[in-house]
Amino acid sequence: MRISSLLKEPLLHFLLIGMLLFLLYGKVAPTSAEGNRITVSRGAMAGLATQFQATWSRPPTPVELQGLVDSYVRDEILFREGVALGLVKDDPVIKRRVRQKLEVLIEEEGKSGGASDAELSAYLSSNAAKFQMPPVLSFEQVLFDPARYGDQLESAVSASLAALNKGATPESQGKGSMLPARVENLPLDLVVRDFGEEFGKALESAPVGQWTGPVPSGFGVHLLRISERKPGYVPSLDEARKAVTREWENDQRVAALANNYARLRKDYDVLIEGGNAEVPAK
Amino acid sequence: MRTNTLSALIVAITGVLALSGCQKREAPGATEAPLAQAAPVAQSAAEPAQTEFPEKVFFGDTHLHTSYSVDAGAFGARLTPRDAYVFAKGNEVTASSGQPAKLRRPLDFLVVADHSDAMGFFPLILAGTPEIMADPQGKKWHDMIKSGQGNAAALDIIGNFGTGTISKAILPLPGTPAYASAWQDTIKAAEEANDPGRFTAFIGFEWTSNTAANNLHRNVIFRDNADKASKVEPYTTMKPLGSDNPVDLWKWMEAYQQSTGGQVLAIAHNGNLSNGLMFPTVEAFGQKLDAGYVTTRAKWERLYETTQTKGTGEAHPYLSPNDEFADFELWDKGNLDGSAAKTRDMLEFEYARSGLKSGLLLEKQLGTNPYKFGLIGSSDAHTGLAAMEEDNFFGKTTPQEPSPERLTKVFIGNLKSGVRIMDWEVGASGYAAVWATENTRTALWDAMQRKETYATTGPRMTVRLFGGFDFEARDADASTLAKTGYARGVPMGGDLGAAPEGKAPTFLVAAMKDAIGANLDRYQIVKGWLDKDGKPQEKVYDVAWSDNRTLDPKTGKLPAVGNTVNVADASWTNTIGATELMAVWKDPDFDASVAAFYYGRVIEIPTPRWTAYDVKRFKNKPLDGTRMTIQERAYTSPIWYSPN
Repeated sequence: MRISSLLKEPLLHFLLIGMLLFLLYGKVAPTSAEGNRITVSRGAMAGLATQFQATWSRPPTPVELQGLVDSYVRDEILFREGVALGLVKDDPVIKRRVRQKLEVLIEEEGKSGGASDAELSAYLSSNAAKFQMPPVLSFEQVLFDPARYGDQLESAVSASLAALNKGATPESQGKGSMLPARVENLPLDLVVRDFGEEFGKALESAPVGQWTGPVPSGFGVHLLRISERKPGYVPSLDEARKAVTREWENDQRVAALANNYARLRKDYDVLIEGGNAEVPAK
Repeated sequence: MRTNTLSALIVAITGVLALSGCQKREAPGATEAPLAQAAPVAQSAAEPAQTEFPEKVFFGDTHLHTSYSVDAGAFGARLTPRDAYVFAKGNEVTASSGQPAKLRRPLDFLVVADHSDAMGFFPLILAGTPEIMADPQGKKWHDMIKSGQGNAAALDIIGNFGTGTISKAILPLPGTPAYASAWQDTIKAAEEANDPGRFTAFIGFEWTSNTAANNLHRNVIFRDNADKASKVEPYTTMKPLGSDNPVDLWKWMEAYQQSTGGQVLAIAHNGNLSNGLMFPTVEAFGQKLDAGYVTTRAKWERLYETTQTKGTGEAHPYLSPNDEFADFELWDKGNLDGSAAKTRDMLEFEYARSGLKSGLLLEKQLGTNPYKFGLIGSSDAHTGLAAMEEDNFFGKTTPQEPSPERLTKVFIGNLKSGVRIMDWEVGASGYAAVWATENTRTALWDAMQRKETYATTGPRMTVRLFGGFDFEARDADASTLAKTGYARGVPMGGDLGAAPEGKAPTFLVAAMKDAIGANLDRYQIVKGWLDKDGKPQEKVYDVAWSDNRTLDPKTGKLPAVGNTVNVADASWTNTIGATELMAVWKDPDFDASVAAFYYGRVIEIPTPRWTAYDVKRFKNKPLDGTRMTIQERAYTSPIWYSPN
């Protein structure tokens, strides 16, 4: 075959054009070798090792570190491919996650600088109700479960009241119960937890030092005698410093979130089609 | 992120996300009734008083998620661990759905147990790792934050974020170390909320093994404070750093204790969605069970979550056909996402009672009982709200917070398997009850470790169980009960050694109703043992009951207590049932040569279920088959008898 006829061969033309296209593609293709590089920096490696140490309280072995690196690379490749496919877009979980992260960043600013004593004192007095300490009570009680007395309930209660007034011990009265007969220094909210709201209310106003009742509760009716009722009060800053500081910081965080959102919101136009947030008709 | 944790719920999530955040609902009517006052915000100055033996039972939740859990966040939960503790202490918070939420009574303790996988989201800038510090921009922000200029740094970061000028080296990408963890923040929230003597805020997390959506989660609870807990990162399930095999979690627990001198225990998640994997008897994760497995499991897994929002897993009617109370709030249709339907052969390996029985069998084979666990209940709510009261129930997830829709929506639906679980099947359950000498991390944790605990499906009834060989009828005296019980027996969670010649175990039992709850129907003892052929057996005994009922002479059964529930009005009366139940019971069928366990089950009279309160409140129509009443109950940790 002569050279000239070879030059006329369509297969050769095809091959040459193909080669040219290949070279051209290499020049303009978006995925250059550089773009597909994943660098596991020393910093990243140290980070992986630190993470392992934090979990296992010891550094990783070389095999374990290699496993971490492989996993890091795999994450990176699949993440990049997924991002390239647009899988990040409109993913509600990712959106919520990113929102969460940004909010944490913003909350951080609430932490900047501590409050002065003057600020805390002012905060305490303007939120006094929040820091109010409950009354603390010591008392004795006897339970009468109506189901165990039937129509004898009233007479049993009066008989016991008379006996208690003559010095009988609460343990000697009633028919026995898992409720404690004597309670020492229990804050009112815990009295309410153990005996119910109604009983707690009665303790707030019952006379100190004398047997009284019957007082109802979820268990039945009680005779009770308060031996001491320390009134509730607003604590001093020194007494409540930890709580006041914590609540003050919390308020700062909440305010930071609200302020920052308000600031960001101003930069956005929100268009609600139809003018109102309503469920579109089907 | 473990997407398979959620795969079944993605449909629900996407539907919900569109609504949550922008939608505020009407304030609920649930707060009509008077609410008890919250614990004081300021912490008690006095040191807690420690009693000689546990005189008080403390109620709490060992399993609560907040927005730090990736799935809870996706469901729309906005509340943080900090909010969760504030709420548990009895304060009002605004729920993620925008409505005010407040418990009727504060809890005594709480474990915020967010999923460890993907818990972290703190920018690494705050942690100052080498990568960040090597970058000028990163170093600048880190230094600004550390020196108290957090405000300026945040604004600078936000600005740069908006204009796309954050250095590529520190641009946080998932999977890189560009996020430290929410762990430190979780710890901080617990430290702030912890108030020894009044309220215990435990440090903890949930390890979420969920391969093929077979739920094998474990909650890990620290006895320790921040100084030790903050030295580690929670264990995860993602390889290579983590693992989905509980054996590896136990190694992590061991490593934590060794390196810090701290202490942790694990509570296995209700196994009813594990599709037969919770209590293996032959092999686990491809490994034959051996002496190592059984001793290690017994060492770390001290408690078992018997009831929670995703159903109750004490017993199943298929396994316990003679137990008329076994059919209770069951979720027995499939695994966690409904991708695999339940088959009957799986049940034996995922209910507490059969697990306890299998434990006796394995002890005989391998020398140690791996399933010697105490019982607790908890919420597993993903709302930051441990609100498990029937008339004040805030659901399992944010979309299940009170609304007219929650009565009829689908929670888990899988078209392929046909498994479908409705929102109404979610239970307002439960809490963990712990007998402790004081309300502190150490005292409560120690009580959990010795299994002196019981599960409740929500109400706070007081339940005692003591086992010994010489309790007599006259010991059933309320005023001396605890003294007698501790002096001459062991409490729930304890062990009875070989019986003295001619003696059978005797049990001193007592229960008192919830101060604001329903009366009690009965106190039962559930016994499990190995028969002569080594086959596990069980029997339920009625030991104390209300209303002077007599056992049916033919069947030996106690007649039902009755029912005062007015469903339409969502009300009931305490005209039936008892305030307190007390008895001494002696095992009438005792064989001193075989191992056995005994646990208490206390049942309330029927009351309206949360669904009835919802119908009354929202005036909507329930679906056919919706359960409207419930007999709430408590399950105590067992007492084990061993012939050796």
